[in-house]
Amino acid sequence: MASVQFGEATRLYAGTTKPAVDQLTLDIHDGELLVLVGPSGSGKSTALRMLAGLEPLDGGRISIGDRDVSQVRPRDRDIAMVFQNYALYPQLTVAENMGFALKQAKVPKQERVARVQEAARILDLVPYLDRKPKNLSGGQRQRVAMGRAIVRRPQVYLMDEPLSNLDAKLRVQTRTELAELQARLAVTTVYVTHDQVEAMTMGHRVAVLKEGVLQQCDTPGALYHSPANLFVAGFIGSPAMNLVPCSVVDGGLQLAGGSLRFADGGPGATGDAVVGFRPEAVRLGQGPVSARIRTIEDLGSEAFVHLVIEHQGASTGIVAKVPVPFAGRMGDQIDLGLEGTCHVFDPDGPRLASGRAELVQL
Amino acid sequence: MERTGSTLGIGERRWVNNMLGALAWFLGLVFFFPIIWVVLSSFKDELDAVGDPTVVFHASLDRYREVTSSTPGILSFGQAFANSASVVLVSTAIVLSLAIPAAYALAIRPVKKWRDVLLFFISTKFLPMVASILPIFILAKEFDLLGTRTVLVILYTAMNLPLAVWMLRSFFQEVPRELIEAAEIDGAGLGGQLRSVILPIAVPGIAATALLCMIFAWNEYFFALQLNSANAQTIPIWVTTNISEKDNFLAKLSAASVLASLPVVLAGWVAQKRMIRGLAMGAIK
Repeated sequence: MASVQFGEATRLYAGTTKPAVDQLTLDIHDGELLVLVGPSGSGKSTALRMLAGLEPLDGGRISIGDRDVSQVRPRDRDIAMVFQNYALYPQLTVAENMGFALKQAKVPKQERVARVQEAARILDLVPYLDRKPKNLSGGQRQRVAMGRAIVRRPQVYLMDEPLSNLDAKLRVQTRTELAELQARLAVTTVYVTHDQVEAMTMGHRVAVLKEGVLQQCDTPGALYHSPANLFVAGFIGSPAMNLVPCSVVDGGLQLAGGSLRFADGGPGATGDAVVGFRPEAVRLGQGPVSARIRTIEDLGSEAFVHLVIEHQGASTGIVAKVPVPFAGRMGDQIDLGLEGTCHVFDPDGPRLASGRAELVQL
Repeated sequence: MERTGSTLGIGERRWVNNMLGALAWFLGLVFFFPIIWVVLSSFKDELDAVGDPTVVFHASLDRYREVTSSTPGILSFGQAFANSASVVLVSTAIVLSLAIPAAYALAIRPVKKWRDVLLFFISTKFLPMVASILPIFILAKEFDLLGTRTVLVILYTAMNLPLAVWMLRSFFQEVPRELIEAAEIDGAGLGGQLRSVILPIAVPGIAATALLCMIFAWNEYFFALQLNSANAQTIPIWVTTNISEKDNFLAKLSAASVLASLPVVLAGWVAQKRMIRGLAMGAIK
């Protein structure tokens, strides 16, 4: 077990000018489950492969524990990796797959068998030890891939979208099991996913990447409630945060026919800004702004109402999260208000201010 | 009545399908006819073989006995078979031991300018064999290799190597990259990755490649004839020794031809499944 440090680690693919990972600096604590999340092309997988040693560094360094591993070959880094498509050796049985790394490390057979048995017990794979991967279901294959990592007892687990090949129900179930297992084994884990729900539910901390640049690394709660910039605000949360371009005039923000009043003063500056608020901050049925209901998504426990307001001379979409039952219908006009945390962002990205705010009549 | 699913696709008509089937059978038989003719002739006696073809004839294995019985001074079947077998097996073994590392370097860890290298390999096959025989003959003579099996081993290795590299490269490319990376992370070195991941997955492809190399080497006639007139002759040369200027020889020649083809047919039949899997490997993901 060990901590992991990325120190301005950079990877530039041959024939490109823009780094796939650009000066990534990240401290991952001993025993932590850190999730790297971002859209495709954000460099999250590249960052993981750099830690694995599958991609060389074009700058900076990476350490595992106190050891600088920047120039160390993958096989000497004492890591285990779970691949998206599991990468099970097709000609080997489950037991041989799980024991492969131990065999390479010349661990005596008796100990090898014992450790494979132990991992198989943890993962409910004992009845399948003699099967070949092709005779397993997707979920079983995923567990074998996990087992292959567990028997190693490495310093760090690396997981590259390990659940994305499972169907939705199994994915949610395995997600919980995996988080439990990680907590039990307490091995430092770096987990890559494009699914922000997976990131939020599993990660002790979540690092959000965009175009190779780290945007923010914090606990799921902090990412949700205090996003560092527009990208994180829009990426984290489902449905996404409402982001509406506004003008700040004398510290006040004008939103459609209303004015956003912050409890503690709000943004001091004057100029263009983007105001952001979560769907749960929207109040329907009373408020100074008139909205038209576009669609209603009733999930049973709650409903998402997609609305259109006239703002700065254009139709702007807003999503509201409301309790059920919800009485409105498609096409209805409804009064809209705001009550809760609002964020103000610079149009270039950074967050300028946050605070409780209320939408009042102009 | 038992219900069965329709075998007709949408827009297909049964009589058209039947006609196409019949045409395919007819064409198949046309191609197969010369082979049937040779096989039948090999069981006839010489007079029947040159006479008008008859459906009923007295079949015997006499011709096979004749061609395999050794006459002093003339290349025997056993000797030619041994020559061919040793040349084919040794050259194929060398081809594989050279082509596997080459294919690795071209498919899995591509060397610089790998496209040029690949083109160079195949360009060696553009040259007509006849055009290269003079320098080869002179070199063989200079190194005292005329009439030896060694010269054929060298030539067959050179002849099959480009093809083997090309084939193996495409098979190696099918090995999922993650598997190699997983083995690398699991602590396997280059040899371990090759032994425990790449080769087991590429076995059908390697088998197909080896079989093709063996068939080409077994059937090779031109170099064997030019460089090997003496005592290291191979099966294709032995077949032609059954042509005689005095008597009828068609039945004997047929028997010799059947014997010469048998190993290739058998090998192809045994390896059929693997070979089809191997050759199809490049086509399907």
